[in-house]
Amino acid sequence: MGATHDQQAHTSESSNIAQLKSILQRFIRVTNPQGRIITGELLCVDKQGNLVLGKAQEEVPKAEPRQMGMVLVPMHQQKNVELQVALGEKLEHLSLQ
Amino acid sequence: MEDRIGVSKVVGGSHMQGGGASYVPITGLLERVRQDLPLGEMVHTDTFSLFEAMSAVELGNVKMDAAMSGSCKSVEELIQEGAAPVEGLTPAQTLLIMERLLVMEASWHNGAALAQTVFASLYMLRPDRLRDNSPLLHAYCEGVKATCIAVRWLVMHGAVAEEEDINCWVQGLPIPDMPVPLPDARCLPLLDQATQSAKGLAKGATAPEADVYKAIAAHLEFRRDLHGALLGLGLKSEGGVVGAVAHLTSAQARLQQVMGASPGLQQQQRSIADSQNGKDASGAASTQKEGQGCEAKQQQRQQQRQESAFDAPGFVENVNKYLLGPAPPRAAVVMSTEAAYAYLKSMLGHLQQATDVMHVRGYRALVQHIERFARLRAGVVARSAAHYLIAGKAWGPAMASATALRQATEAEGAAASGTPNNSSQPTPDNSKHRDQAASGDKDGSSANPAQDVPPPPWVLDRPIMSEACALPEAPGAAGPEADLFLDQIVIASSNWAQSMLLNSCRQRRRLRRGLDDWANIYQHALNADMSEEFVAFTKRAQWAWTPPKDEVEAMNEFYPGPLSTWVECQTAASEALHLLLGFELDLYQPSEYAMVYWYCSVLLGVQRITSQVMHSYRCPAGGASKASMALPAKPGKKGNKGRAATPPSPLPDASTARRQAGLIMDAVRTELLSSMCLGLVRLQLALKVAGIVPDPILTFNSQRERFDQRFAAFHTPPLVRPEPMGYGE
Repeated sequence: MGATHDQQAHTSESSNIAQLKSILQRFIRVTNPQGRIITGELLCVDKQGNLVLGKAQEEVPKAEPRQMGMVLVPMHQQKNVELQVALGEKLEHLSLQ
Repeated sequence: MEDRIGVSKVVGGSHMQGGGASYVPITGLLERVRQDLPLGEMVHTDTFSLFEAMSAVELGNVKMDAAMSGSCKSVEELIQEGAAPVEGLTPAQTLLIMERLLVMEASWHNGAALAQTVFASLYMLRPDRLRDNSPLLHAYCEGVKATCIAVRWLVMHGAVAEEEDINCWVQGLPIPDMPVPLPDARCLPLLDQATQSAKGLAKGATAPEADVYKAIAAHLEFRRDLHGALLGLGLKSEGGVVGAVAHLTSAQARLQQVMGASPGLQQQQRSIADSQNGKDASGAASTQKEGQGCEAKQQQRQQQRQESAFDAPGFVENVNKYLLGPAPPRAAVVMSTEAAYAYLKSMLGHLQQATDVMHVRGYRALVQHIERFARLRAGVVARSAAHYLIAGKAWGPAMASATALRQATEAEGAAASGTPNNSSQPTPDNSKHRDQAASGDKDGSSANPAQDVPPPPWVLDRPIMSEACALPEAPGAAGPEADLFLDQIVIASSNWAQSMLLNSCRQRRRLRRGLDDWANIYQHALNADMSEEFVAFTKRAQWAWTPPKDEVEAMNEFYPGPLSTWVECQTAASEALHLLLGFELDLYQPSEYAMVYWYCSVLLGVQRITSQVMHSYRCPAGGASKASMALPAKPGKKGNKGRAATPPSPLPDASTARRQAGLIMDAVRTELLSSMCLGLVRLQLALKVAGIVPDPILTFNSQRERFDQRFAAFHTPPLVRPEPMGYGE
């Protein structure tokens, strides 16, 4: 029973991490508590919840996006994190919530 | 991996905006992954590198993320909300804005970003709004913008500014980025007009308001003088420098007036008085508390100063946060009013000292000028001006830009006087009142094309270096090896001058790197000393130097050639300076003082000996060109048998006498300094014997190894002269 429980736990660990691995290098949008919006390629996620985004740019109202390069987004700066998807695959990725 | 690639192909892997993109929240997934991941583990792409991630900008970190705080409102939104009113601005408010712009400008000179200081003012971003309602402030803002352009031009062409000195980023600001715009005098008539207007208003107003208008007039005149001085320096001519001196003297007087009527300084004095009263009332307890929280109070004062810097109308701290780039090189700190005025006062003084170069004649005097200026530890603006004035053809862009500025200035002058000109620069419309002192050369060359104007005599170029080595300036007169040597020492000396005018930290390192240049030059000097053409030249010029008979003798150190001796002297001077700068930068431990001073005494001794050797050669300086070009006299004609032909002997002219006297003075000075260094060595040893300075405990390396490490740069090939000293010596 314990072994089965461990196997199930391991499987669920793998599935979450596997899901995350499937969206690496995809573009995500991060909104921070101050309302700033950063989009970039998801490169890394760690145990503390920090995100590393590549090719990051900040959306500036009524202006060109501001290029930021590689950005580290700490946990406390993540009010909302969203994955950019095409309309056709939106339904498929709703399970990631 | 394949799934990831497949999915990314569908999406396209790009920033999609508008209707093509849709977003799905994944906050829950990230939370689950955070819980599932073991400690120390992370999920990353195959190409992810922690090393590269070290340079990532951390969002929300004020030291890295320039746009962390502040409003997201645009300039137009802020203006509509009334953040920068133009109607109803009182004279006191105008004066406060002017002073705050001056403080911001000083902060920019000291490393803060232009977008966070001067252009944090909505009036500077939209000066045209002020034209009808506040003409005085409009003129001042145009003057500030023109001065910022001139300072940026000077700094970029001075070639001694580093990123830690000043931030020249102007993207998104109303200042052209590239090509670097030439400074112009279009703001000067506007400032003149505004000054007259302010003085008229002062006469017509009553007591407190009249003083405010006088202070405004002083600000406008200061701005005019500062800009005029920068224009004069930019011309890089004797007339331009003379004009700059006049403007700088006037600017210093105006600055005193401005400081006398400064609302910021008065407020600071009131707050100091208030804090003193509060301290006296609370007694000893407050003193104790202050002692304990001293650092916290300093931070609090800095915070208050930062907040009060943007108290004036129209200043919004983060209005340009999106123009700063992802990570500013340093946190922007606005100076206090007192510190800003102190900086401006010292900057004007240093610029005055930079203009002393117009009295320089000869390489020795130039070296003394550069060394004297370097000891001032001036700000980047003054150092840039000092280097710009002496930079020669080795700094091509500096010379070309000086030429372009002279052309533009002459075009403006021609347009103002109505005479045709050949310049291709556009002529402005409102340049009637031209500042004559800053516009043309006193030698009357303004009528000639700028390209024909020779560089000033103090510029580090072939003429001054040929005088330094007593070589003829004309190519070919002393042979091709000597010509090559002359070209090389122009470059080496130019690099040395640039090193001397960098900030102190970079200066020492650059001097060490420059030793490679001197080592290379030494080889050229040896080749030149041995060349037949040069030997023939020295015989014609009657130098008191006996060339070696063959190459074996030439390798003997007792037959140093004049050119290689000169190079050895310069190299030793550079090495000694490199060592002495280490004391200033606090790089040595007390246990190392003895060996450093000892090596300094050796190098100064080399300088003394080489100066004495060069003095003994009696190389004619001013007469060298005549003697070298003069052929031996022809034998006498028939009937004049009694007269024998003799070659012309160069008489010791003034420049030769000056050169000889300079060499003697150098020998005496270096002997004195060498004796002082030896005295300090003996003092260190005495302190050690007395037990006052104990021997250090060297855990990782021996004293010999420390010696070798400290002086490794002097032992690295191809540097052979001065002869490197070993630990055993």
